[in-house]
Amino acid sequence: MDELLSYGLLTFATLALPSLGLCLAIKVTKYFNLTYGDIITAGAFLTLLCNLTFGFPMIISLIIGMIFTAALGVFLHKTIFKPLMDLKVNPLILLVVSLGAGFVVRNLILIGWGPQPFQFSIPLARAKHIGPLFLTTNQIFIILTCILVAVGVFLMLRYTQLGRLMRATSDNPELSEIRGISIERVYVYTWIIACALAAMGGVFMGILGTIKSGMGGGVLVTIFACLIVGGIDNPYGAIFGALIIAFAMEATAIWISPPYKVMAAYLLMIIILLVKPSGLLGGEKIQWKYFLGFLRSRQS
Amino acid sequence: MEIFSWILTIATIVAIYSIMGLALNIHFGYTNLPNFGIAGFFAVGAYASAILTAPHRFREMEIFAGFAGGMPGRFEYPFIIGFIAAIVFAAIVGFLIGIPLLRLREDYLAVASIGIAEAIHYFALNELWLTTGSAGIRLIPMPTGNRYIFFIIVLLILAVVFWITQRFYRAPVGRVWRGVREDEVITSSLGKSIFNARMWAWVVGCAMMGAAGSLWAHYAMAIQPGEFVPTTTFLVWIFVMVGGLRNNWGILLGAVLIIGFFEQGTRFLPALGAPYIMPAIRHIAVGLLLILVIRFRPQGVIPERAAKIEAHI
Amino acid sequence: MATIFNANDIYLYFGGIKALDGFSIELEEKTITAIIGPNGAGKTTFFNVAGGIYPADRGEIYFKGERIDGLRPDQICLKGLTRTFQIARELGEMTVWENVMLAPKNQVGEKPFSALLKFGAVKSQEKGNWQRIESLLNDMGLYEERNELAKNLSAGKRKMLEISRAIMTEPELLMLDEPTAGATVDETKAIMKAIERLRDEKGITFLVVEHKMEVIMNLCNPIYVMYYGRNLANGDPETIQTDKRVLEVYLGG
Repeated sequence: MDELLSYGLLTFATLALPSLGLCLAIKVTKYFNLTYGDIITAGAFLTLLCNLTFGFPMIISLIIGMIFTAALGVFLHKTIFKPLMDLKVNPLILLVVSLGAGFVVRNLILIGWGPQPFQFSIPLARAKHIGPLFLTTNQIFIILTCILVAVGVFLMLRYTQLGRLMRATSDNPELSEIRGISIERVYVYTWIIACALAAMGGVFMGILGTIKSGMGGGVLVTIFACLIVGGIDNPYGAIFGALIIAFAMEATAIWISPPYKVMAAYLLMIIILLVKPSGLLGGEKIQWKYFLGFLRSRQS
Repeated sequence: MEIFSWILTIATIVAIYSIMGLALNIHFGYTNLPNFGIAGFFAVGAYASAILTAPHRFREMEIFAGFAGGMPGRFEYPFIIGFIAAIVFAAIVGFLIGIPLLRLREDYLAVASIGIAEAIHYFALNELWLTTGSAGIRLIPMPTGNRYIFFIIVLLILAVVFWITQRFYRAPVGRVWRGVREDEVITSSLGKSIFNARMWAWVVGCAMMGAAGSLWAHYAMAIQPGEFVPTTTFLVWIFVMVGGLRNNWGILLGAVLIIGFFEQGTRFLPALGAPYIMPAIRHIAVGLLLILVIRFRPQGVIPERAAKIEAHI
Repeated sequence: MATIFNANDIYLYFGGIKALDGFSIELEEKTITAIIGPNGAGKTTFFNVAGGIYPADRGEIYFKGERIDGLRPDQICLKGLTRTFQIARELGEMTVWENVMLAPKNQVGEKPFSALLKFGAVKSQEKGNWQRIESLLNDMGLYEERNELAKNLSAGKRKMLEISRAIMTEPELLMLDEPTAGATVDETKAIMKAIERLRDEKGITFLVVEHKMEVIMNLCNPIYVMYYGRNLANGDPETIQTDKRVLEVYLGG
């Protein structure tokens, strides 16, 4: 049971920030972006670059890594996604292209670093007792940072002007445009935040495990599961979903079998899609196709 | 002569991938169902065919028999049984997956379908009793043992699949599917059940992908879970979009261009360093090509062509 | 004359707004009934509810004696009720003829197996359908554009396409949402004639949402006036024309 608690918390800490980031990106820009998984990978590797190759200490590397990753994200947005959005292509085409971009990023990383797994160069971790949990200092750092950053993001959303702009743009893009808000600017800022969060997630994954070129792609489905379970239009839902998915995954690993962890996440996602597709904390029923006849009761 | 052998290899692979491309066209080109789990249905077909046709016992099985407490022998049925089984099983898996997934809006369907291939990959990797796990299945017999004749068989099957896909386009079912793609509200208001239309398209496409999988298993004569990766899915998407989504001739062209030259053609260039570099460069090249094509010619090389009524009747 | 359609006390709430507030209507066979009312009165909303796009919160709808509220749009169409849309929606990447060929109900070949195996049946069906569609397109002024992609049509032609499709479903009740919106004077006359002819020759009942007075007064009887999702008045054209409440709200005021 304690195992569940500690593993659950750790998995949650790695999933929460990327889920939040992707949720914000989807909410504000209104398109699904599948490059996000590989941006997570990029975040881990760019931080690795600072850490291993340039020899910076971990915290500095993380910050620089986040900046680089955000720059990468903005570059991708400006060169690939924005032109397509301006052309008003079918959002599915954008989705395919975003997969393509992720593909390219992943393989560039593969060429640059090779297929072997890497580890950050961080001082040896000492384990401590915190209540019923037995965690290393690294793990404690990850959990605390995750919580702090998440709280910070929510404060930003609620109280800063950027937060208000993001909310306005996600609720009503046309109205915001009329009021003189530069939608493109808001997109860029949102994307910067999302990429920074992705980088953090990637670094956390790297600290707890290893760093490989496929790591982000593999976790993308799990992150989508977090979003769908929690409610894709609600940032709180992203965190909540990450919590549920994390514990479900670790419970499966402990009581059923470790390889089926990811399947648990996927299964939960399918169940929620069947039962309450807007997610546990979500609002309108946006995922359903109404005309398929499974919606007999009233709309919300 | 070696060069003929090499051309034959590429041609066979191109033909097999073409079948998957046509299947994706039915899913996405006709009916707007983005399927990112193609590799999964491909795998189901390959494994179904392999399990039914591989020899009764082979070494890996004996080794695993120790771990898994004895395993069933393979069945050694003829190719045709394996092929039909591949189609049937892929269709069944497609149907079961379709029940929850096809109610979703397209972008959610896309995301959910990514997990399909992973789930099937997991299954293949872990259910040793059925699939021999990571060791895969070997010694799958190629019908007639002659690669040239097998290529003719593949070509014939491709021709049949092509004819079927073209026929669907011009038939009422193709119009229903395209109506679902264009505007579901209208199509529904004209009396067509959207879910049923989607499910038919989905199952037919998945069956075709299973058929391709079966052909692959018999061509490669050995399969293992590591072959059925997202890259496979993605390559199909790339050549379908580059060649011309919705136009079946364009898809064939795309298969020749992308699969033919990128996947196999560059194998003869000198390897630039470690063995993982050249494949990575190839993948970057196709990824960039996809981005460029969609950016500058989104309808692909050969776009959909409007049919004239006079030609139809 | 028998009642072919009636809706009793339909309520629909969107958030806090009462889109439909106890609206009722009864249609008799082979009549051309109009629903009129200011913008936002709920006319299209009612069409959406009747057509199965979304369910009402309260109330029942009967068609030919059966309850149809809660059914899907495709099920309702198969029972004989077809509706058109206010803003003409077309199947853009399909040609005009493909748009209309889609319409007939329960065609052979709408499922993959029958498409592959029932060659002869499909071919003769398509020929037969095309003969009827050909003359329909001629009447609707769309014959020239038969091979054009629907997305390339002008707004007026798209409306005609919308109506042509609806007619090809061979409905018993046809609900038209502003069929003459954006139509020229001649096109409007053509549509009015077509409606009357379809009623006389095929016995189709019509329910029409309209704004143009000449259409309403010369073609439709009875007329229902809708206001804020409710019934305001209903009756024959003279009664409506002289009804004080109607005049206040809509016609004069």
